[in-house]
Amino acid sequence: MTTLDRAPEHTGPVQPPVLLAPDSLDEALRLLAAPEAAAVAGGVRHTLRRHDRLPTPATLVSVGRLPGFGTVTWSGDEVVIGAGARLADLEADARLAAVWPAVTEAAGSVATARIRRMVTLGGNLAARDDSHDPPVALAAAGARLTVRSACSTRTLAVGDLGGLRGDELIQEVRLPLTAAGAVGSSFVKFLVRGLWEYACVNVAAVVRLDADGAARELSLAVGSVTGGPVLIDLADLVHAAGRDPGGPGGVGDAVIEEAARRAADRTRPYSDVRGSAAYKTRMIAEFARRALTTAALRAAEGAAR
Amino acid sequence: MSTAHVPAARTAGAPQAPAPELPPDRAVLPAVIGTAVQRVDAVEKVTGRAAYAADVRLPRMLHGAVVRSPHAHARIVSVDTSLAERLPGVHAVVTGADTARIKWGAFRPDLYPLALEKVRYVGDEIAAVAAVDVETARRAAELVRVEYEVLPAVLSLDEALAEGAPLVHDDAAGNLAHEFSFDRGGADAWFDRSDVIVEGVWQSTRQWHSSIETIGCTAEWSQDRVTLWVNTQTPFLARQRYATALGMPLRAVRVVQTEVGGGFGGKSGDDNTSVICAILARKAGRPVQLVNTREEEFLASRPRIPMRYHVRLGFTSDGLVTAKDIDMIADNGAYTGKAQAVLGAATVRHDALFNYRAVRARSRLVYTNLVPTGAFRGFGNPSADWAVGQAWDLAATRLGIEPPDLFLLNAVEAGSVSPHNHRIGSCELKQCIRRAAKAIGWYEKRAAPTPNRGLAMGVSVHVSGRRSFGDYDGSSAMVRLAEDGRAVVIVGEGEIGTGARTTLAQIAAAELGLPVADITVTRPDTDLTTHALGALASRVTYVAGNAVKRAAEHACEQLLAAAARQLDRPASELWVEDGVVHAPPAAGDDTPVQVPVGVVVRAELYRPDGQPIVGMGAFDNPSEFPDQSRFGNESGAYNFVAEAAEVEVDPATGAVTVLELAAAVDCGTVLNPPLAQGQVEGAIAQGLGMAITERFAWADGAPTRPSFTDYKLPTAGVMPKLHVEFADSYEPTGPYGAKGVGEIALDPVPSIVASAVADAVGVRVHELPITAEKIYWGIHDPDGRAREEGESR
Repeated sequence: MTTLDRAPEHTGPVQPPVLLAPDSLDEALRLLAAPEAAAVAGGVRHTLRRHDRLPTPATLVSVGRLPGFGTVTWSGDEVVIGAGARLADLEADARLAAVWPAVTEAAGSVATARIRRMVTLGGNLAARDDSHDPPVALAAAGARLTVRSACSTRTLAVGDLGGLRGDELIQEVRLPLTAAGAVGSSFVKFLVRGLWEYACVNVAAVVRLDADGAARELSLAVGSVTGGPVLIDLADLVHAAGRDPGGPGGVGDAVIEEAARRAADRTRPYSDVRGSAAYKTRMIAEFARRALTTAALRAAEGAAR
Repeated sequence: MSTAHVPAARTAGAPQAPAPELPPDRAVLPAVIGTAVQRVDAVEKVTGRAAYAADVRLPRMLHGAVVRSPHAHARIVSVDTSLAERLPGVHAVVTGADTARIKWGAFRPDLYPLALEKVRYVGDEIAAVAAVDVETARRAAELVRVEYEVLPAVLSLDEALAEGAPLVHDDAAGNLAHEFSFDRGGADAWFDRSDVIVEGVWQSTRQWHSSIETIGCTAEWSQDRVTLWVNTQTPFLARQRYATALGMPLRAVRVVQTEVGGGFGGKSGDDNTSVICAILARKAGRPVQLVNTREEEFLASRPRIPMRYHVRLGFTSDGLVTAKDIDMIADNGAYTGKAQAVLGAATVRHDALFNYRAVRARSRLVYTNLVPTGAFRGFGNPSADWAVGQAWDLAATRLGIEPPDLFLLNAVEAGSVSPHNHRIGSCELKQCIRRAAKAIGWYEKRAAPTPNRGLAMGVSVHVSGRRSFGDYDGSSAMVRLAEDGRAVVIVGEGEIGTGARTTLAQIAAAELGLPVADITVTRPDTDLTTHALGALASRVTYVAGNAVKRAAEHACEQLLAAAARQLDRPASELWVEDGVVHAPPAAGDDTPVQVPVGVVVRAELYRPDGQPIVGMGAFDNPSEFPDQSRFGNESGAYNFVAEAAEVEVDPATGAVTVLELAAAVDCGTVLNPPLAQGQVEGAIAQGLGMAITERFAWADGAPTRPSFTDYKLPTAGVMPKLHVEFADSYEPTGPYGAKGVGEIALDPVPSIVASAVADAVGVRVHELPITAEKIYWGIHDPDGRAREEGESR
């Protein structure tokens, strides 16, 4: 407990932040170029920061209602989710759920229904909290993020978000759509006390099968760990995954076990109220197993259709 | 709603003496008793009009904030308030120097209103600020510079009891705040004669009341007298303690109860908030409001006492209990409050459940440099029932007897007397055990077990009021019949959200023959209402209910006497129903006589030498003030519960799902079924919190994140399917046969969850809460080796 004896940062009256409501994305980006300006969409992160008595930005640029900022658009090879999309809308998006169930499951795992109606996908990502759910699913899915500033546009992976600058805004999240073969994905969040809170561990898995039903890609991301979400390298297991009629969705049990072992070995969970690091390591293996199994079964179902 | 008062034989004049009555035929209970009367405060609460502590607004009112210690144990080298005083908007800054330097506390005075010389836990109050608004006050509080010399702290029971441990209080050697022991019936001899002996160590942990509303007070001085508007459960007890803390005579303090957004023991006046508020208001010369933040509520309220029990039970081979021995240590935290009384209940109460031949105990209350502990719904019994219940569950396994059968074999009955002279009046414990077993489908589930599912049962006994705040556990009431036909029940007990004002209104309505809508039950004000101990120890229905009933009887006698005079009819021919005085047709007439109550009251006032109609009634719990070894009948009536649970454990994670929970409660007559049911359901939820979900991560003597982010109350998502039943029961000394019901259903919950987990996967958890992690390691790493490796990774 350190907040009690902390010296105040200033002694004058606290000015409430200025709230700016631009009409377009370009205008928003220009406003964000000012020092001390920060974007606000659902406002949940700012509320939590204030709750924790962290400094608030002098200027808030409202981006939650920018035209087109929250739409989901489909093209041949990708689905593009506007960063302003609310998690509740994504959770209820049946078309997205059919293709990327891990993403809708993660969106639907965050906090409570009320909060999901507030939180935007971009805001959830930009908060860069290793315990958040959507980044785990998006990391496993290989999402590409279009990031804009007043004078630049670049593409980042979820794992690159540490380099997001203050003047930048996540504009959209792009997920690949596969023409051939089948993709199965799954997101699991372990609520250790059985009620909504931050995850004890959260894991997402993606299994891609080729037209013959052989595994072509395995992906596993682990959240709620230091530096998370952490992508677990399973490239060398793809060949071994092969086609195992005994394993879930044709992916061999031994491969799933090895993937779970790696997930546990290569991540560093921290002890907190939801469990010790040692317990979380065991749970990472358990939920990696569950996520991969579900993803493989879903991929096989997709291949069978 | 139709209410009827059928006149019974009455003695004129004074309220009846507390003579035990014969149980009347229950078929003639007035219609308003046992009816789902809508809460009298329902509309104002759901429409947001109810005025809670923070809703009080007084002209020129300031807002307070408190400077608290960040250290578990430190010497205060200096306190510099000059910066804070200079902040615009600040009207007063107070420190220990502004207090009377008097230690206060319910049983063992050890708490200064603001710390002098030393701080003893993270959250200990050092100084406070009053300013024009809350934000300014909090900012000013941060400007108070405190220089500390950090001292070694004792942050656990073991550290506090270690040889040479630092002392929390210099006058408490060995960090012992209180201890007592007894050996009744010769425990050793009975253990020698036992065929089966079970034992173990079980520990409970801090649990916070987590009321929706935090503790709050508004203080205003008028010359040498202060009025405190407080969301307290116990206005009269609070007045006494706050007067002591302020170094003022009792007459100088007036306490008025605001709406109370949940009490659960946490608002029973052992913390400093109201005292500091009064000191701030005195120095500022203006009214001050001080309301705990949620963080302060976690850091510096008075959570449940962690207790570590070593329990030993003896049985004959056929399952009769012989002896019980407990050695218990309890974590007092830095100051004592009511923990001393809780220790007593947690040591003796459960001996009124079973026919023990001998009981021995040694209980010690231990100071630590942690947040002080105190009263919490259940008052020590959830910890006791968890530890002793685990031993009983082990015994059932060892004896090869199903728990319900073992309980039935040993349960007390009406007329039983515990080793501590607890005299059991009405008692339907055996009925409760049978009904809980039936409701959960015990024997069917036993016949067809499901993997990873477990069943358990637990029982508990609670008081209806408890004689522990001096040799008095009484209540008094006045019932004023108004000339508008209504009745005002003036009583000092108050309402903390349980529905007490509604049940008291029902009792008055039943006795007076008025509709409930015509009854107003006042809020406590130590200047205006009658003396009462307040809402604790499940006492209001039983103790205040009797007082109100007698006051209403007394008022009704006066009403009928007045009507008799006015109508020139004998009072014995009159009765009151639905607000109207009725009499049969006079001789030679065939029209029944009907006169509204208000007309009678007005005529009684307006006659020459007219009198108001005010009934008075009092009731003192027919109980005994226990001696130093806690011998003495605590209460005039005991309530009982049996609860059964079925859980499912995921062996891969250790996660527990409580599938079903059945509670059969003996609280005598159920005065208002939805209110009683609500008490039982809420208590079970709070018990599940204690058992499973509620905990913090700790560092350096405090929760690392004192908020609901970490501290999780049970939600609908973790509530099991509930079966709540009330035993067919009647308490002869209770109002219309009623006993208390506010706490008891919480008591067995941690124990039955733990026992059901043990039944499901063979892992018995020995320290609350029962986390998935503890169960997981119990299954996968019983000797703890893998876990150590994992931690050193």
